[in-house]
Amino acid sequence: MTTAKIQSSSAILAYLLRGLWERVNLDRIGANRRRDLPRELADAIVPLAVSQRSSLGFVRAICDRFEIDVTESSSCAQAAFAQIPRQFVPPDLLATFGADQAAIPLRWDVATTAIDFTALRIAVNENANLFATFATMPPAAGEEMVFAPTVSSAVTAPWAAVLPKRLITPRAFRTVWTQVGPLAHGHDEKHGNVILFRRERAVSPVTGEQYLAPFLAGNAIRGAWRDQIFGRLFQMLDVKSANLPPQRAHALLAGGSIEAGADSAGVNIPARRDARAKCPAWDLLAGCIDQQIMRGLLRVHDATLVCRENAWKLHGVLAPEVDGSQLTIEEFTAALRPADDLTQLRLATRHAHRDLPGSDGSQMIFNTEVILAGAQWAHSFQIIGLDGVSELAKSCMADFLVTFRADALIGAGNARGFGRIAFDAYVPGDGEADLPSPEIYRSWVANNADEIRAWLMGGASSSTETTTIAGVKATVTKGRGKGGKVQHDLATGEVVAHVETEAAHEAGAL
Amino acid sequence: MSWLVDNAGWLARAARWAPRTVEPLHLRAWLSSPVTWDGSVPITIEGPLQFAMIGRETGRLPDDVFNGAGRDTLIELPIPIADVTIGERLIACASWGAAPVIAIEAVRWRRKRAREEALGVPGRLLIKGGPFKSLNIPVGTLVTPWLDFYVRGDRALLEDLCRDVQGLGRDSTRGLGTVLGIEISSDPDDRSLLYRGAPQRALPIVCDGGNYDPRSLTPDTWDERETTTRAPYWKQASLALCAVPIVSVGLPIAEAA
Repeated sequence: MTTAKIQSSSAILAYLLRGLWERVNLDRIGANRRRDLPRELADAIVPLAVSQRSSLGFVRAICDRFEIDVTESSSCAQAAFAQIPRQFVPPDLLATFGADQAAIPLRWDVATTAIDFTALRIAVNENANLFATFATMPPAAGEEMVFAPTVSSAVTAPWAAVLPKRLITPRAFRTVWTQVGPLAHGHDEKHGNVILFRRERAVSPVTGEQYLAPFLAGNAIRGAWRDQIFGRLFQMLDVKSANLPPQRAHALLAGGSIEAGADSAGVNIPARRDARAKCPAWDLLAGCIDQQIMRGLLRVHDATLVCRENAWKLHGVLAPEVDGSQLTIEEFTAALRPADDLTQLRLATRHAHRDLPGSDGSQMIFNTEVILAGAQWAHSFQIIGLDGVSELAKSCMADFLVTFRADALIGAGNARGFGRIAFDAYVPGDGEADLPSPEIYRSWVANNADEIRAWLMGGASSSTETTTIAGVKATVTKGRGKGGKVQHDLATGEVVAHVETEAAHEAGAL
Repeated sequence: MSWLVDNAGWLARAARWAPRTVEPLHLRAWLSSPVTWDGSVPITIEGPLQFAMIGRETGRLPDDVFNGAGRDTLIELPIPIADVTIGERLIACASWGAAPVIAIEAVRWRRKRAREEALGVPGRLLIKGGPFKSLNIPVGTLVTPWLDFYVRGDRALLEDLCRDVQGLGRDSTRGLGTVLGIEISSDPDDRSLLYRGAPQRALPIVCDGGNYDPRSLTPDTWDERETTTRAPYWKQASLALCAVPIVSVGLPIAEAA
């Protein structure tokens, strides 16, 4: 889908929605619903685009939802029309209209044929509010400029397919996930009671056109892996995250926060080396700790849905073959299903349980868009500068992959049964050595448990002193920004007191 | 300077990455995800090559290696790309990354949330602000199947080092700018610095009547602004008034105006 096509389809859609909106029967809608009707349109427009398979289906669904009668009837003298500025009307539809006619009246069904459905989905996905506002507000001076072609869209030279050849491929570990249940991954925006799957625009070098592709963000996968890698470390050390200094736990589990002055803080080389040496998991994932902004060794990539639209980027990676002969890109593309065929809306109900005494909940239905079970995703990760990376960090990754593979969950709604995947072990690419045995990491953790525990508690790399609090010998760790002093029992590692943290909470600062 | 003394060993070894034979080359970096993009800061290839070289030589990350080196000290790091001197400044013969006309600008939301239940914070935990703030940050991106770089460099060394060019742009540890692979081919037009009189990267402004004199550049293909001229480009030590290409998404650099 070209930018020019998206822009022209957007314009026709906007004017068509306005034409349809004029026919909303407010008496049928009712007073309560009427107040929030534009918001309802904005919320409904994307889910309806996702759930339909054609522009006509989309228009029908809008009409159904808002009780719009598009036909000629006793209450309406004529069928629904859209008044579309001449510059947006395709030339083949202009023939029957006078050359001096600035606004072209197109019957709703004719206008619908001029809206490319792929363009419609891309356009509404990125700006539902624009269409809702345009449709529900009276015409305003200069509004047609919203859809004016941009400079880049004016480039109309035909696109010649380009595909990668003779690639020097970066070293990486790759696998293909196969879903054994539905998979959800929340969209960037909320759309009423519909939680859509996350999508973004992509560009095909084969067609030169744009498409809307479901994807799993590398950032989200990295976050989930971070939870599991540190969760496993806590388990091995018999440590509870709630017993760690809160900002330490926040750094380990979420990357921490850049406190004032962290970006210009004095470089603390011992602290950085200590962190990497004491905690291979931190070496992999890193973040901001002890006012040191550190980079992790682990690069986690987006997961790419194995679908027709993404064939161009998967062909070289997956090297698909049938009966020993490799498929061409054309054969591979034809063998895959379009992304839209792999999605489904799942209806769920949150019950009010009014039969239970004291229940004050309200009954609610909601939809979650999922990728169907059986769909596949290509995934890869890299460990930066692998040649020099410590065996421990690599072994830590190997340890994590063993547990991840045994109980692999990804995406949202795991508690509802979503996100279960299965996969073969990650395979190192050309020139890449396999990961070492996970036993290296496991035995290292077992042999250095006290030291690691002390680091997790915020010791070692920062200024510490020993004191006695209420008769208990404890370490006092200083200089943690707003978190302030945190005091731990040396014997159990448990937090004795959060002196400044508590004070800050009481003062409402945190 | 103590940092230089401490690191003299690997810096001397790194000299092996300087180009031995130089030819005009075209590097096409295929991407499997959008790359971070703000419309004015270019995507360059020298930084990722330096990153890869440092990893090869030290086995450590640049952030750690250069701790203590001084934020404003520019240390010459050899990569397989030739340099020219323009107005007494060393300039790498490497163009900015150029996207094909089908590229588009987009946004990737980056989410970060505090694991509230895992934190032992007594009482109320505020996630709208403060150290445990949860974030949903829009990151400007360029959606493009590839970026083209034109360089004058050593093909064999580049082919070797490109195996460790794993990501371009910021946030590559989190899935953005993922390099699917890099193709290296000859560049008969030698576009590394100029193409049809249009600058292909930031060039320091010099008024010597030569090829890089603004009076020799094709009008309306460049703009004038202060920018850094040497990787790593975030270091202000190489700041200079430059002629910079006008970049417009959807148009090739040379034809942007």
